[in-house]
Amino acid sequence: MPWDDRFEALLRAALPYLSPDEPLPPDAELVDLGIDSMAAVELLSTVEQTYDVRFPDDSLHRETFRTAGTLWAVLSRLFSQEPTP
Amino acid sequence: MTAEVRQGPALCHVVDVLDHAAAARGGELAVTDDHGDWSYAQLADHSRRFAQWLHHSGVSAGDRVVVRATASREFVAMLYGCLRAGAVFVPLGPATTAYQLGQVVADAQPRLVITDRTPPDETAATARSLQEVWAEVRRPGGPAPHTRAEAAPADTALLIYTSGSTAAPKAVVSPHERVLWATRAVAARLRYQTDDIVLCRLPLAFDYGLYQVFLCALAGARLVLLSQAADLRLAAVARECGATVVPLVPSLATMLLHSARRDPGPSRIRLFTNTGEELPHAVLAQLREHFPRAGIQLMYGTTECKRISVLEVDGDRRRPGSVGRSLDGTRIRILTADGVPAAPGETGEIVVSGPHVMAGYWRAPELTAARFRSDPQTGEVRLHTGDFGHLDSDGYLYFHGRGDDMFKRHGVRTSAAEIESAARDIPGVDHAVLLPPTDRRDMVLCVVTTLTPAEVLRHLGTLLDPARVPDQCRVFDRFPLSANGKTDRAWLSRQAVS
Repeated sequence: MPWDDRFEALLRAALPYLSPDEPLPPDAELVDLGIDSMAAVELLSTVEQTYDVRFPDDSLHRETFRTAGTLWAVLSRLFSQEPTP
Repeated sequence: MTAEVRQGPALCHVVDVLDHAAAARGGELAVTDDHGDWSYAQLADHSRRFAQWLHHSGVSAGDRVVVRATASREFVAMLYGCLRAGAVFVPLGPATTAYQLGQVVADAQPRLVITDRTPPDETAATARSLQEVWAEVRRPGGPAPHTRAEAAPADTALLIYTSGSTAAPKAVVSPHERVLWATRAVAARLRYQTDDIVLCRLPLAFDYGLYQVFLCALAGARLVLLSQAADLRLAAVARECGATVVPLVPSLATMLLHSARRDPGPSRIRLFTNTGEELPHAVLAQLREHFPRAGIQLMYGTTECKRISVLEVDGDRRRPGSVGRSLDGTRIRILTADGVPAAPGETGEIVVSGPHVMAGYWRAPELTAARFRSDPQTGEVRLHTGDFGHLDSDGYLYFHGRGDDMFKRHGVRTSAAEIESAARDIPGVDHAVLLPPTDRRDMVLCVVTTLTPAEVLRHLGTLLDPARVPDQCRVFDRFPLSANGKTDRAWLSRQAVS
């Protein structure tokens, strides 16, 4: 499933090395696009609030935040499990 | 035991702190990292093996050994092992880039560089992989334990690299006796206990992180070293390891609070400390809300003398904005622009003297003479910090800011000159000006280039560590000049806000 615009906007805000006119590749290392620990922690908070989900403790490691694709995969699995309102 | 160690006459070499702890409480845990624990006896043994390995590798007294690595048990053993062998330890953090390492190697001229990058990407011919080195150190029948080389108290133990107002980093020469003196003076204020568990997410190249090693050994406490892997769940990690003391810089405090909000629960933390970069009032209030049992102890210092002042636990409630009183046995003076002592409440440069003032900058006599000035009458060395502040009538210090273009970001001291210099090394960048952070915005890099802002930042990220890479870059066709022909930084600064 491709990600939605909200996800793309949240993620881009944490990636200072990515130009607005450049595409965000699903398999690019986010570290190479300028994400740091602080930005990852803040991204986790905003993603959880925006999608009203909670990342389980065992997903809070660097692999989850390695690429746009890995993060979206974890996130989409979470909200497909949440009861729909 | 703690009191005996603190007052023990035999501490004249930094390794004595470890050897005393190993003799007194060898079976107790000394250091924990992502991969396991070592007792004080095991840490001392590994440091002896590493010292012997250095000896076999041709490192002799006075040689510099650079270690660029994530904080780990091996890092701590290399620190003590290097000092045991009489060599000078030069710690660098894992975020150090090849460009920065090149600057340090050119300056320190080390005998050996050890790095945890695999494969070692360094241009330095002397670079060795940490993993390979430790395979040799650990090999059964490998190096026999080494005791320790004789070192005079005035011999150099550490070179600690820090940013100055110049483009290239410079090292503070830290002799054994002064490192020990500063450690004991800080310990007398912080009072770590034998049952403390100190959670350290600071790089061990940063003196605030590095001295946690010595403070823990002096108290017989346990040090838990965290890597970046823990950043998303700091509160849970603190709970799991039973942390009682956590040294904080603002970025770390913010991450801890994020994690505590997601994951509220009991905590054994009794003390937060802070130096390196001031914790904002809002962060202090949130720490108190989420960790009601923990006290907060604010401090202030500079690598050139380790620590300048320490406030009592929760002293900020009574004296908001203060960073405490001078270490016992040291003196803080506030000097006005005319070089005369300021009255209480009057702002001036913070000038420090005492046995904690380090031995100047490595191979930089002019810079040393400018900062470490001898009193013409007494010959006493006074460290001119370049920082501004005032003392109140009770001798409490209030820090106002830096007088030059240096600033702190993510707890790292840096300067506009240093970042501009690296930005100008990017092919395609003609000119670069760095606007330091203000109360209202983060730092902004302004460049004249045909590259895009993202391209500039991406390239800068390969030259400098993350704390020194801005999030914002503005591209200009040219920079306007001020009336005296210099780049008009005020104009750029207005553009950066709009």
